[in-house]
Amino acid sequence: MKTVLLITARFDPAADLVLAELRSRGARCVRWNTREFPIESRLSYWLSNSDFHGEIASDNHALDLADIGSIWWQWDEPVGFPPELSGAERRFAESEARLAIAALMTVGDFFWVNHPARERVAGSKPAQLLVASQLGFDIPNTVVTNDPDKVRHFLASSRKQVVYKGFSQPDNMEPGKALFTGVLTEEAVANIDLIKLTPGIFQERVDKDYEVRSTVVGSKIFSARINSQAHADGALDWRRALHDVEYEPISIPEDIRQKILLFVRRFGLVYGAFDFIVTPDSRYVFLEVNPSGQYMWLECATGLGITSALAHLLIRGAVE
Amino acid sequence: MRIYRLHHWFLAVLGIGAASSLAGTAGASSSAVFAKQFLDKGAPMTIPEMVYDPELQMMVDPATGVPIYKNNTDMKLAKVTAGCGDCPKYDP
Repeated sequence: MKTVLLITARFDPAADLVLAELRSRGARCVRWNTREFPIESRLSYWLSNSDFHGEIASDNHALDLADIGSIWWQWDEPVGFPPELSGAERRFAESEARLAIAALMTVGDFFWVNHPARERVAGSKPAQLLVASQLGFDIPNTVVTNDPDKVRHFLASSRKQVVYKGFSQPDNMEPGKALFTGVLTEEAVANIDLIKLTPGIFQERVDKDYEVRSTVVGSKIFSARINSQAHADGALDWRRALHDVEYEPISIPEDIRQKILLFVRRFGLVYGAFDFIVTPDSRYVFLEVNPSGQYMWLECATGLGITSALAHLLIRGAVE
Repeated sequence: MRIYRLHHWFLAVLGIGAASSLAGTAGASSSAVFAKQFLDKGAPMTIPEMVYDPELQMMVDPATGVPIYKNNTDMKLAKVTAGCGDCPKYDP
C-alpha cells in the first residue's frame, strides 16, 4: 500500500479529520507541515545519471518519495524562518524553500488533490467566469479592471447595484479583518482611482432566493443550501454571518451537476468548492470556485461526508 | 510545548469573517488600497488551547494529549435547518 502525504500546516483542523479518517481505514499516511518548512522539517533529493530518490523528514516520520501514492495539497507558503532574517534574506529563503517544494510536482507520479499548477490556474476568477460561461452556467455581468473609467462606465450602464470583490484574501493587511463582497456606494466610488493599483472584480448584484455551496470530491458532489437571505448580515456575503446562517444538505439539478463535473475536468481539478446564487426564479448563477476551499464548518453543520470522500479518494488514488 | 492561540489564523484558514452593522457597505478609507474599504472584522470564535503532537501529527489537548479534532462533530460552528434527517448526503 502506498502512503498518503498530507501537505498542510500544523493548525489545519480539516487535515486532522482527514488524517484520522485515513488511519481508521488502515491507510499509511504522513503529514508534512510545509507552512512550518524549512525550520521544522527536511526535504532532500538525490540525483545522478542513473538514479533519483527523495525524502521528506517531518516530525518523527521519514518518507521516501517512492512510497507516496497520493498527495493532499493544502498549503504552499513556507514561512518557517527564524525572525532574525532580514527582509532580503527572508525573501530569498522563502523563494528557495518554495522552489524546493515545487519540484515535487514533477519528480513523482503522484495523485494530487489538487495538483498545485492546476489549482493555481483554476484559482483565477476571470478564468473561472469565462469557463463557467462557456459551459453554460449563468454568470453575473462582470468587469475585471484596474481602469477607474471602465468601472465608472460599468456603473453608469448597470441597472442594478454593483458589487466589488477581490481576487484573494489579504494577508494581515488589517489584523483580524477579512475582505468581503461589498456594494459600490457613492463613498466607495469616490475612491475608485485607487483601483489603478489593485485590479478588482466588479459585478452586477444578483437577486437571491438562497445560495448553494457545492463541494466536489472526485466524482461526488456535496451540496448545501445556505439560507443567507434570512439573516441581514449575510444577505450580500454569507461569510459575514457564517455562524448564524442556516445550512441544509440538498440535491442540485442534474444539469448543474453535469456542468460542475465538466468544469473541474476542464481545469484538471479533483476537488473544488463552488458557490452559486439561486435566484427567485430558481436559476443557478455561478459565482466562483475555490480549488482548495475549506469545508469543515459545513460538514460539521450538515453531516455531509466530505472527509470520508476525501479519504476514499486519496486511498484510491484516482477518480472513480 | 507551545500553546496555540490561533484565533486570527483560524479565520484565515476558513477565509471567513463576521457579522457587522455595516454589512455590505463601504466605509471611509484613506488607504492607497481600494479593497481596504471592504475589510471587516472576523467573528469571535472560541478555539481551545492546543499543542501539536508530532507523534500523532495532530493538535491535542495539552493536558490530556487527546486529539482536538478527531471527528466532524468536534467543531460546532453553524446551524442546521431542522427536520433534515433524510437529506441527501451527496449527488452520486
